[in-house]
Amino acid sequence: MLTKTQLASIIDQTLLDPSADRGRVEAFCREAGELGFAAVALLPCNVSLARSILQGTNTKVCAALAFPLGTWPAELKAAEARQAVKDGAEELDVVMNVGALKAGKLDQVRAELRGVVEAAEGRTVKVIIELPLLTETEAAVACDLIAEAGAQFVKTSTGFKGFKLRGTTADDVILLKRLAAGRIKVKAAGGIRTYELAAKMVECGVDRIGTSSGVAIVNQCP
Amino acid sequence: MNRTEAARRTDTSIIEPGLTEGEVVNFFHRARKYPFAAIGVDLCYVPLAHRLLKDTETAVVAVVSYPLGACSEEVSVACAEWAVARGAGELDVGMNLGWLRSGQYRAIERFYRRIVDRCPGCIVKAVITSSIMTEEEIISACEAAQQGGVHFIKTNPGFGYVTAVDCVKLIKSRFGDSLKVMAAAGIRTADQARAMFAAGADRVATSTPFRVLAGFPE
Repeated sequence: MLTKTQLASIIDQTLLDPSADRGRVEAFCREAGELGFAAVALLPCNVSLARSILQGTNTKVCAALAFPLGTWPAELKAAEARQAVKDGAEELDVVMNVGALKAGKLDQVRAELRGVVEAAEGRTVKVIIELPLLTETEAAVACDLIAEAGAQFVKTSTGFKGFKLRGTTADDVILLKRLAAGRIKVKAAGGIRTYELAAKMVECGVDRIGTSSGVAIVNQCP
Repeated sequence: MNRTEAARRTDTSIIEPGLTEGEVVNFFHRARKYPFAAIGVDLCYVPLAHRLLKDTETAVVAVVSYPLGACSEEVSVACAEWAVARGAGELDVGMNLGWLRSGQYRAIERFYRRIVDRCPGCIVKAVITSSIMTEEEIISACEAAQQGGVHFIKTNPGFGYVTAVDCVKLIKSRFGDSLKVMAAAGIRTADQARAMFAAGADRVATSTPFRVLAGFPE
């Protein structure tokens, strides 16, 4: 059983609402820093502001890249990664080109992952594979490519509501832990709103949880 | 309005998560039969769309900072230039609603101005999220975009948003012919498209174009 602090330390507290104004982003980051979340996951336009607020805390700033579609060419993904690093991002969550993966255009996927990992210059890179759209075989190939590229995490889903995809489950975590086989870590994201589900995922070995309900989840922690 | 006339004032698009090249090709083969104003794709499919629309009157639209309007200015400019260099004739560029709600109108204006200036000859549409904006915000958004030199306001990005006929009327009543309006999101039938045209929309956008056009007489 994790304590509240331990649970917070594996949560990426997430704000991907494009209507959030400056005041809301600031308040969100302050709260996340006080509660000791692993990171705040934000849209690229909010990275530098978040960085200025979280300076001196243990909470990292994470940028969501090519978000949420992922259908960007390698050079633009790398450009966005470089800009995020310049703006102060310490972690990068990038959406894989899932269509290219499904079409077997693996060199295209390799090139984009390599570009982002290079631009990250050693910072943690998490690759979003939109698992609800993949077969198990495709998910296995995705994990292989992520490990090969030197990224640190596979991440289940964007959680973008407009796509109307199913939420992430504990079974997804079990599957990805098996496919990752210790080479990369697993971040679960998408529809995780309760302590109960988060705790279940922790039992299944999840390394990081992305949620916009991080505060509610840690507050439910017994 | 007949089917051909309607198609000339309609944008369609194929922008979905997990979309493969094969799916894009199939869609374009079907869409090529109509003289759509433009067809939108995400960035990596711009070169393919350009090849598939060669010898047609339909423009390739690239989406930039889309659908969330939250990419940085530098990256958005780079995306726009990349797409135009590979055949995009139009750009649908998401507006940053957070900036709008923080009163950063000059930042929005400058953002669009840079893209318009760097992509001469290209039609630039500012994509607002009207379905979650107040009337005042819609007007402010349109003013900032117009100051930035955009040609069109696109009323919503899709993905669950729906455009109200009143939004089109509001923009047209305030800006008249000085700013074009493309009604987008939630238009699934010919009747809905006709209602938008009647409200003053210069174009409509729909991801179900064949169904919409089927409702216009030949």
